[in-house]
Amino acid sequence: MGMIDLTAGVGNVWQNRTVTRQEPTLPVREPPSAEQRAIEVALLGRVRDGDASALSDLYARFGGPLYSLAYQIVRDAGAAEDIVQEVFMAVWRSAGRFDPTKGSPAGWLFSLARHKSIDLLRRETTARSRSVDVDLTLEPAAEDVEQEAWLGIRRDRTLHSLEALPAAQREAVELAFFGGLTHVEVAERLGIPLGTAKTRIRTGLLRLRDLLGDSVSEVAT
Amino acid sequence: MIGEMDHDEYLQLLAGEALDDLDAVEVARLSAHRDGCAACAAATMDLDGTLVALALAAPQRAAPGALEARILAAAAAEPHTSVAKPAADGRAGVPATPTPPAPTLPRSADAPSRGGWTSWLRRPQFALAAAGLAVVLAVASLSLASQVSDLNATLKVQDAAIAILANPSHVAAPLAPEDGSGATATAVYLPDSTQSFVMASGLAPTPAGKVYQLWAADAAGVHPLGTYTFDGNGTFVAPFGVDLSTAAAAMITLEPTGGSTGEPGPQVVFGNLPAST
Repeated sequence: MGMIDLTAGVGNVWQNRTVTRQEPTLPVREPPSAEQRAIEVALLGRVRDGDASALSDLYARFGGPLYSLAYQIVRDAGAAEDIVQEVFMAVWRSAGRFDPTKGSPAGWLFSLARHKSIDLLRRETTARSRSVDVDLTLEPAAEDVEQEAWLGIRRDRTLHSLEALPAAQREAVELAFFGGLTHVEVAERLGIPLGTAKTRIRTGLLRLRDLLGDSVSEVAT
Repeated sequence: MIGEMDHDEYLQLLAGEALDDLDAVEVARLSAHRDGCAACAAATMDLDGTLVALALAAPQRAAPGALEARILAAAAAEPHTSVAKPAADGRAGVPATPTPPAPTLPRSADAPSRGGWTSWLRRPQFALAAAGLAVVLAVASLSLASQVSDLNATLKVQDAAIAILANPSHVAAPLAPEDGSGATATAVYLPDSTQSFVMASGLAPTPAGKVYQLWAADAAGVHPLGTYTFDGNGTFVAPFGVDLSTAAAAMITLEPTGGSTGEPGPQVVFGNLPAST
């Protein structure tokens, strides 16, 4: 069954790691504030106007996390690279489609990455029979120590909140989000009616929103 | 049909929307409600943050060092346009956020006088270039006007479909995906009227050289209806334009550009309609 291994806590982040410090153009070093979000919205505006340096700045902020999410879903490094490139090209072509009333730039970018990852899985003949035992073992990641620390804190909060969900809800949310499964596939995988799967996923996501509380606000604003 | 929903049910829809798990009817109901609901707008933003938090919970991996350069090279190789590209025949489904038209350039204070411009244009060597420029500008203007017109038409179709859903007499019938298309659709209509629409989620972008075509079937046979292209974004909404209460089934097929008047092509979604009483 597709429960995600969440035992690899953030404590592992610091073990056996050789980190080369690199200064990204606009490093993500602290929880996003309204000011951070304004900067990201402005970056999208510059991309919309054809400023390639803004695309580079967006990559500095989101390239690693987008690659990580894509890899988590498709489980293939080359495909994850292609997906990240597709995401940034989609942004390059249609940054004007971002609607700040419906979410954050981060939310839009991650949504694009998730959709493209799932699209890729749908195109593969093995998609429906593939394993969804998602391995969340941590690996060397961001080259910026502070960025990695920030991501670790964020991740720790989210994992604790996930652990606080009822097991059935947590499993359904993880399969839908990280496993890239449709709700129909989640129902089939868990051997439950589709309506039950939908309820578990939706209720789990709402409960997760409540559990994350202020930390969600930090991300969303 | 769907009855009145309480706010918790709308929250459930918002959660479903966050993971793209709404059928077309749910999308329309949520859209109609959220426009005037501050709590739902706030919950939408909260759920956006929840999904970002989930995304960041994936084990972080270092992206290949050459990836950024590859992306920037690809962007540099592609002419940038800030205006979303319309569908080929201008009959797209639902575009994403419309891009506002480019601002007009302010007139320079020290621009040549009208007489100066006309005398410049009268020079033979510039007259031809000016004529060419005028043609280009006219084409660009027509293109922009066409996009705005398409957007307005799309919004009218959406509004009409939502109005049907708000009518307690409406009928909603699911159309199931065929051949693994992954799309789900709902036919919504008011009996004894031609107010009838299909609303589809998960519909793939129209392949090159193809169109989506609507069909209705009754005792007399299968009737070809409108053809449409779709860019794959959002919900596809299109009118049947016939009274579906007298039809037995409805479907969307994939046809060559121009549509089919004979045998339907591959079915994308299909569903039987409830018998009229």
